[in-house]
Amino acid sequence: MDTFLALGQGFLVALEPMKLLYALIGVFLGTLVGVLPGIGPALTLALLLPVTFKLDPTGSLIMFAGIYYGGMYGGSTTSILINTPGESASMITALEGNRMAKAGRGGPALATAAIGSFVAGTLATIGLAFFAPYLVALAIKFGPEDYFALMVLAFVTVSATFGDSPLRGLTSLFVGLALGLVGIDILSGQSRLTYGVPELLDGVEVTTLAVGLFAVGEALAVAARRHAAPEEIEPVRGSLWMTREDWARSWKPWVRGTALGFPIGALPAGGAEIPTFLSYNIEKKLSSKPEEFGHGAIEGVAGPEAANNASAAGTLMPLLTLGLPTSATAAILLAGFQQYGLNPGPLLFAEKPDLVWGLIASLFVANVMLVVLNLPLVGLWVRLLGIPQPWLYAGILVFAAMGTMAANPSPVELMMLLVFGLLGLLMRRYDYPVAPMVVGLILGPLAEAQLRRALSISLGDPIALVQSPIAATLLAIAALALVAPFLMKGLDRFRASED
Amino acid sequence: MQTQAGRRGADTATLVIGVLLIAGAEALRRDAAGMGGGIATYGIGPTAMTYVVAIGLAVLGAGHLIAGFRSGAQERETTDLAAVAWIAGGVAALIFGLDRGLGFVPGVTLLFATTARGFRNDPSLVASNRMAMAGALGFAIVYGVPMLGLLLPIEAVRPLLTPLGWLSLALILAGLFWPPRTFASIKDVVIGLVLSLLVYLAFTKLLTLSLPQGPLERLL
Repeated sequence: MDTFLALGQGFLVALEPMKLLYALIGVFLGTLVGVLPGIGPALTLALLLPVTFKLDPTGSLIMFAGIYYGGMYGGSTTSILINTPGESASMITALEGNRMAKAGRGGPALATAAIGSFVAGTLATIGLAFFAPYLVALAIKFGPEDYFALMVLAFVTVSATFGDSPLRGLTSLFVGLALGLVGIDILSGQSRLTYGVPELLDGVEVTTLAVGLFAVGEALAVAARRHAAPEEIEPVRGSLWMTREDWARSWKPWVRGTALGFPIGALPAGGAEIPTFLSYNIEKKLSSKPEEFGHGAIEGVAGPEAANNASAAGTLMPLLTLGLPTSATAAILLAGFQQYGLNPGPLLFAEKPDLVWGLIASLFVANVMLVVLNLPLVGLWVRLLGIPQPWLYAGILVFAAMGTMAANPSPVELMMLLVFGLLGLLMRRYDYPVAPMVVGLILGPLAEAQLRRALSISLGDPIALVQSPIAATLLAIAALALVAPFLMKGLDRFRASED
Repeated sequence: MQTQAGRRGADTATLVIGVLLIAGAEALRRDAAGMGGGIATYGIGPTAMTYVVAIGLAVLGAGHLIAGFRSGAQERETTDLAAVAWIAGGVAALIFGLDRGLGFVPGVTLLFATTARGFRNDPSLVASNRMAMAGALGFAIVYGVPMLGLLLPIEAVRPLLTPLGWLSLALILAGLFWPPRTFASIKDVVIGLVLSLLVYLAFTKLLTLSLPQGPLERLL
């Protein structure tokens, strides 16, 4: 009951005219940037963060929520029309959706993605509003050692468990952790790894790292791969609307996708890839027309797209209730909170209920705005896709440099942007995942603070780290998650030799 | 990515990354050692985490070395270094320009044009590509040498860095407008100029953010 009251309060905040305007600007800008090829929600957020600098915290976070959801919608449009997914979670959408567009069914593909995202986003946000208070009640009981264990678990799952290579994932994570050390240590006031450069005392900005790795790195990688042929844009032919059969084939995948996406997104496991892949496989098995899969099956767009959006709302759960980002996107959202000195977690629910519930309510608002706005505006988005690649990336670099300068007008900051861009190029070429680095940068200092707090409470006795049953369990799961990929690889090899 | 059946020899890239990781671990260890102890708090001090990360990097570096020798030589696609030089050189030119007070709009316009040029790169444009690569290399020296100041006595060359920066900027500009791409680059510059003026006005007037000013911006 309290939840509904709190959510009602949130709606009072989110439905104020100025807040509605912020949300509208957010969804519009988010879609506008997200629709550009190669740009995923994480980069959309990082590029647009400076736009929110001068707003009040609530307004800025509401705009941010709009940008987040808008970026996701924009990304699915791009995947369907030109087969360049901005992130691995839209790969499946690109797979089936682009085939549908090539077969002249781009309209229904866009519609089922948009309406599916709306259904999934709304259901998952209800789930978020309903379950968050329980998680907050649990989180209040967490001691620093439990938080530390939880963060260790997030480190392992984000970097090692679900990637291609635990070695490369962990390397990315540890470079991120090393970057997180740079600057003044909060507890002792000593400076670490600053080498006498005053600009480094504040540490490495998450947005600079994200924009460098994602925007500059991506631009360099695309330009360096000279022989890659430009992708064809599929024109949207025929009706935008879904037929009765399309609806009948779409609604169950939407619901199933949501049911997969939300819980998996809410676990501190990170990444929306797993629910989208699972959803795709399930829909393929359950479909009445499995032969259409791989040639443009509408279920293959509806299910994964719903799973993707539901898991996006799911990742907000650990972020808001525990302050735990489990994806690059969530890490940048956390940076958005931190620019106002806000630390998501159980305390935020108690201290700033208006802000938290206003944010959750505005997720509903953003969802409604997107479904109302975006189908009619699809023509505009398609025209954006026609921008020639050289100008498109040149524009992205201008915005990347501009955002960095607006955040911190110093040549050192731009230098870091360039260095991270070159690092991003190398990581793309040699197949290193970039998300663990971003998560390591923002979560590393938090984990260190919790560890040191736990150890100073226990007067330096390390046994305290495993004395709490919660911490012991989480650390055990983390250890298991670290070993699992090696075991599974062993099994794979065993199986391969059998064949 | 599937590891191809390794050919004879070792994977150089993986080995180099392994060595770099171990070097990074050593840099962290030195930094922590240089801080000294003395902060008597209960529990652990500010150096402990540095050591943990250093150990992690060293272990991962060793892992890379093992993996590099075990996987055998790998084939990788070629990189268009000239395209990278155009884009990275453009960012470096922007940094240099801001350092010299040339302002936001000219620097960003140049970045726009060099990036577009990098994306349209054609290996047959040997002369202009060499200019861009020389310019990017020049900037790498201008900004890389001060970083080496920690390790080497470089005071003697420091006065040469600013002239080298101007020379690098001139090289990149000359390469950009070198025929036969003169006209295409002028077009890029015009579009970049319009875009950066719009961005500048929107961010400084509408959002009241401050962006670096030069002679041009002060007129607006």
